[in-house]
This record gives sequence, structure tokens and C-alpha cells, in this order.
Amino acid sequence: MSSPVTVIFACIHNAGRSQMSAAMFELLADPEKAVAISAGTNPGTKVHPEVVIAMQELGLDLSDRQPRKLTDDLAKGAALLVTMGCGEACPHVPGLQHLDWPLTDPKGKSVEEVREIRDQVKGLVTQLVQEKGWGKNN
Amino acid sequence: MLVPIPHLSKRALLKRSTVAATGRSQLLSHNTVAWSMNTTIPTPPNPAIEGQTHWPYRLVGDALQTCWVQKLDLSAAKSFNPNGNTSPPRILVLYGSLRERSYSKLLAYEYARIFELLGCEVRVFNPSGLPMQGDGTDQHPKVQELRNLTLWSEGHVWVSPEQHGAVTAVFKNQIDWIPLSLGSVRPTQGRTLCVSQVNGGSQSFNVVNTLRLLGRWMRMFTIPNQSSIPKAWTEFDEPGRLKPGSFRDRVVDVAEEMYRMTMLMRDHIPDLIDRYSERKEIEEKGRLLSQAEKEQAANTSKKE
Repeated sequence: MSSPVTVIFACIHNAGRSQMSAAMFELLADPEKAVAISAGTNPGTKVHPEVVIAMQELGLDLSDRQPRKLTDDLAKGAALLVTMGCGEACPHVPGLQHLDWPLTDPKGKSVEEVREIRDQVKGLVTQLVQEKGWGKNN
Repeated sequence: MLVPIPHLSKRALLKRSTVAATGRSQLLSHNTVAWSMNTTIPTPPNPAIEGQTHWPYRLVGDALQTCWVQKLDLSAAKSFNPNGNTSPPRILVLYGSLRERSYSKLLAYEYARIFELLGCEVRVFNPSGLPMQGDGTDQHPKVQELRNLTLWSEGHVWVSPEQHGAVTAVFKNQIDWIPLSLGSVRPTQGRTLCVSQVNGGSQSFNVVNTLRLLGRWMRMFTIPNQSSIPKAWTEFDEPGRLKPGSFRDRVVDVAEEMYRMTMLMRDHIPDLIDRYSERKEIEEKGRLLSQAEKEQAANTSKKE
């Protein structure tokens, strides 16, 4: 069996959207087919508390996740980069196919607002996993 | 912005160019002299003020979602790595028109996107603001930016419109600002090159032929494949993307071939550019002399 495809979910601070996307991806994708990494160009110190609460509601615990820097070593061997609509500030990795999801930054948003972003993330990740045939039941 | 490279001794050149060109610590052969000198990524002057970056071709949001380049399967070309060199090839893209909707610029951007998907580090030079060669100092920021980019590069993509049967002044001016040698350093020697042109009318090859001639003059290795797009105004859509068809397929062919040639040659460039006459000059003079130094020496000997 071939090794799983690596998908990088990246934004600037790796404290909200990219963390949610990676966690959702881990929930939906078959790890033998595809695995997720999340990172940021300028990582924050912790995942936003509102994001932790909103994801906890789906049974996904992000409280111990640490934002980390997107480095060449981390990106090595990845196949797909998904950025989070940070515009010109979005990270860019040569050699990777690139998707850009127009998601609002949850920083400073209420839990209610973050829930909406979370549901958008869920829809986008579900669509990606289905399109690529990476689902657990495919 | 990078500082100009000063004249260096042969030994210093050897050390710098070896490390810079390969990123590895072991020394290559003696003839690494005067090859790729600098891997530091240059930045355009005052990007915030002038609105210039080296990545104007990058897309975000819906434009990225629908980008045809992102749907290309380039895995065959990407897997070609005969030397096992894992550093991304450094590609400089030049175009030859200042018009807002410049088709050579739009085609240059398409090349940049393909090379980036192939895994290259890409920089596009914006020729706007570059003075006419000779009408200003070579210390002008745009001149320095262009020279530093070519020092940084391992390969070039040249795209020019055909105007009155020839390359545009805008394109040729860029090449004219790149000297064959900066002291002992040759800013274009040993780089790979691919050439393309856009036409307002029927298909022509005058410009690609001229670009090949220029590439030879600049001691570059020009790949065999090339692209010439006739009636360019009919081949790009409203947002400025190249429409599907055989001309677009050819552009992908050219980019893939350029990538493979660069991957094949990049670790052998020091050997491929080694010249007997230059070894002899280094032996006699201690280093390669610039044209100005040769002229000065000739004038001095005349007076004597």
C-alpha cells in the first residue's frame, strides 16, 4: 500500500482556522489514505479559547494543540496546501497544489460566531475528503 | 536589497560560489568560479510603496479555486531529479511590455504559476521604472534589483511581444542592463533559459529567434522547445488567463522541458561553463578582468 497523502492546512497564526480544519480532517479522512498537518507562518502562543470550546462541542479536543511554524521540513513530502483566505499574507509552498478557503479569522470572535466558522470548515473539509476519495468509508 | 558583489579572489569566489550554488559544504571543482553567487532572496525596493512584489501571479480565493494550472498533473516532470538535489530550482521570469493588459506579462505569470507548481522558487521582475540603459546609473534600485535577481537565479524564462518584427525595447532594455560580467561574476552564464513570444497578428518566430541569440550572447543554455502565441488578444480570457487549447498545452510542454533541463544541468554547471581561455586569464592575472579593466589596461599600455 502506498504511503498516505499529506495535506497542510495553513494560516498565519495556526491558532484557529487551520487547527479546526486539520482536526476535522483527522475526523473524516482515512489515515491510511491522507493525513493532515496544520501550521502557520507566524504561529501564535495557543489555540483561541473560543475555537477550543466550539470544537469541543463536536467531541474534538484542541486544548493541548500547540501552534507551530510552517517550515520547509514540515512541508517536505506534502501534496496539497490549503490556506485559509489570508489574502496576500497566505503562506505559499512551491511544488504543492494549492486551495484557498475564504474563511473568517475567529480571532476575537464570540463562541457563537466561531460555531459558524466551524460549520463552514466542516463543510469544506467534508467536500475535500469526498472529492479526493479519502473518506473512511470510501 | 542585496549589495553588489565586490571583486573577490579566486579562492574566495570558489568558497562562496560553491556553498551558494549547492547549499552543500563539500567543495566542487575549481571552475565553480563566477557561477551562481548568491542564494539570498532579493526583495524589490519599496514593495509597499510601489505595489511591486516578485509574486504578482499568485492567486487567492475563487481565482485559485478555478486556476487551470492547479489541475495539471506534473508528477512525471516533478519526479525527474537525476542528481538528487532537493533544493528548489530558482527561476527568474522576465516579460517585455508595460501595458496594463500586457499579454507578455499575462503569459509570464502563467509560466510562473506552472514553475511554482513544479516546485521552483519563482521571481517575476516588473520592468516598470527601469531606466533606459545608459540613461542613468547602474546604482538605480531597479537595476540593482534586476541584477541581484539574475545572480540569484538558476534559470530564466523570457517572454516578449513581437513589435515591428522584433523584441520590444522594454525587453531588450532589461537584458542590456545585465552585464556579461560584473567583475569576475557572470550574472547569466550557465543559467538555463526558455523563450516565448506573443503576437498581435499571425504566428511569428522572429522574437524567439532573437531571444535565442540573446541567450547565447549571455552564455545561457536555451532549451529546444519554445512557444509563440498568435493573436494573443484572442487567447486570453477577461481575467487574463490563457484559454485552453494547443497553445496552452505548448506552454506547459515548454515549462516541463525547462524544469527537466534545469534539474539535469544544475549540479554540472560549473563544469559546463569551464573555459580554457578563462583559466588561462585567471592564471596570468589572478582573476577574470572586467571589460572596463581590460579597456583601462589597453589604454595604459598605449600611453606607455
